Amino acid sequence: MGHVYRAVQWNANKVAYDLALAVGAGSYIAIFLAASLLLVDPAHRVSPAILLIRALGTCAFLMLTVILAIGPLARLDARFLPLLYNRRHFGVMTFCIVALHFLVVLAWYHGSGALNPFVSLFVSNPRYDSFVGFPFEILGLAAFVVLLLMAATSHDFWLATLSPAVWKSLHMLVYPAYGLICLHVALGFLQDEVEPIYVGATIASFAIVGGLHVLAGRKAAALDRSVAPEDGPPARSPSSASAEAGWLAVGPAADIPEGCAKVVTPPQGEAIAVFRYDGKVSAVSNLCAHQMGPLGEGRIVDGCITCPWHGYQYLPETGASPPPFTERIATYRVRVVDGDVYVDPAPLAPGTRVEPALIGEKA
Amino acid sequence: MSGDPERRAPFYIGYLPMPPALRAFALWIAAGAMLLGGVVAFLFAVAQRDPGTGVWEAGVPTELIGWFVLAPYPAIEVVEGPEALVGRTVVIVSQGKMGAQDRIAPLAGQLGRARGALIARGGIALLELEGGLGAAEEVAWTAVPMYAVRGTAAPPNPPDAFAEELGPRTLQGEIIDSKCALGVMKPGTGKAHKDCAALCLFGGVPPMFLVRDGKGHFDAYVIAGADGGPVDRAAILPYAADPVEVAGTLARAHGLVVFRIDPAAIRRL
Repeated sequence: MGHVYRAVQWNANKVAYDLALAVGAGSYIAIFLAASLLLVDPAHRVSPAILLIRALGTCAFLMLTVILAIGPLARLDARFLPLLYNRRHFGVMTFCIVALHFLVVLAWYHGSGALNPFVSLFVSNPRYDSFVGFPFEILGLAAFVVLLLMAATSHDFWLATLSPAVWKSLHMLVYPAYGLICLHVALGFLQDEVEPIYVGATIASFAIVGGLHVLAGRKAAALDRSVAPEDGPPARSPSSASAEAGWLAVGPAADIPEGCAKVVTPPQGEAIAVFRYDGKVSAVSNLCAHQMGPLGEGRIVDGCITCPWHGYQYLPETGASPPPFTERIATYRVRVVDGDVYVDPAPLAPGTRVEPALIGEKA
Repeated sequence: MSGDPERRAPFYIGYLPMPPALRAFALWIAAGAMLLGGVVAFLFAVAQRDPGTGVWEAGVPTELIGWFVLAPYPAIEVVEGPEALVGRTVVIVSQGKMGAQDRIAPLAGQLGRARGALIARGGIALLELEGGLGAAEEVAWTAVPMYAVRGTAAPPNPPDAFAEELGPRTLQGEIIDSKCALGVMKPGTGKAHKDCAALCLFGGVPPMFLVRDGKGHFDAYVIAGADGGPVDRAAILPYAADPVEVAGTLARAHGLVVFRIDPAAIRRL
């Protein structure tokens, strides 16, 4: 959590994750190069530099596909959450491979000429007015710049400095970058290499990423639909006289599993996570202060609401991280009337203490 | 909601030891992804298109002795050198993406020596001149064994730029930079190579017109202007590596097949 900034706060899971990434990417590149060099008549071999460009490019494309699949997979099946935990390292490693691809391309295709390589990159193919003839390298360069920005700001320092909302918006640019890369592949490599496996793999990547996002979106929409805003708690609620209008009916407290939450989305404003624990109910913002992770999909661990993405923790009564950590999220007033939970959708300032509602409390 | 299986699944917190059930799942996923990645890498590698048999003898210098000519680009009509090249005309380029016009033009019509790396494909040969002043230089005819053994007192005459008109042709193919397409880059043609081809042509590497027969065989003709001199490079640069059709005249000069064209007649396919 955000008490002190370090380059990387290593732990056993991160080490294992990064090791698996390095072995996976290294194996891919090694197998690609070995098969290209050893299984082909030497007289017919593709140039080693071009093989390296292809190995790095295809590896980065596959890695980006996996990165974009992890988010929806984790929403569809919580067992994929361990893949999401260290996804930033996945992203940075992918960027490194993209950067190597870019550098080898720049040196091989644009170096040793009568023009500066960076000038050559922009002017050697002047067909900016054509679709099929478009200089696909520029599309790759645009994606590279986006990925560079993302990798450079991937540390929690930038998350805190830019604010989670700005940081999240910046990192959502990965989707346009992925689109640019798909076009880069379609208008470049696929123009020359016409074997169905390449076209098929590109389409499969797009279908997997798009399909998983649609499925995850449907699941989220179904959850949202399950909680319709209703009128506030019944008038007989003794303490609701000043706050009846606009309260949301969350449903029976018994329907919320112990130590878990139910998420309600008010007509306006952010989603609210309503947690049940130890015979009590508390409501907080559904957005983690760290990376805006879905707190409502988290659990109560050691008395703290725990984010499923990176384990950031908050006390349910105050929305504040336990000392020495300093993160705070909005809290909401909550009531239990005849076993039904109601929440006031007006957020209180982050860190504001709200007494939990007792489930056994009679109206 | 209490029956939701996800709620009963072990909860993962990254900085704590992974629950055994999740660890097993994560291991299966990691192993499966690596296996799939390896299979994909293999399939991608073996599906690559055959780039042909071009050769670039980088780091293996070859010395050619002969007559420097402009045909219309720098070349040498080989008098002495590897047996397969004697009597043939070898186009000369410089290292990197550069032609050798400035280095050979002053030597045109003279007997000389050129040293560099051979590039060869489909019966066409190029010499990538080494760096340094001595890589291409004039030599006295008396120092050339072939002429010296004749014992004649008079120097030999330079070769005639014998031109044989082969007639008008309309060809479909690709404007290539001869250096990459004939062996330095494999593949050195197509869209992915377009930037490099344009940069090479801009740097003075002789342009050629590549014609494929669809069965793996190809011909490459030196592209000249309509007057037989060097073609207007700026006019052909935008078409480099694109599929094009162009009408022109084929001729044989200095032993090379030259395609004389008016760049204005180039049409993209």
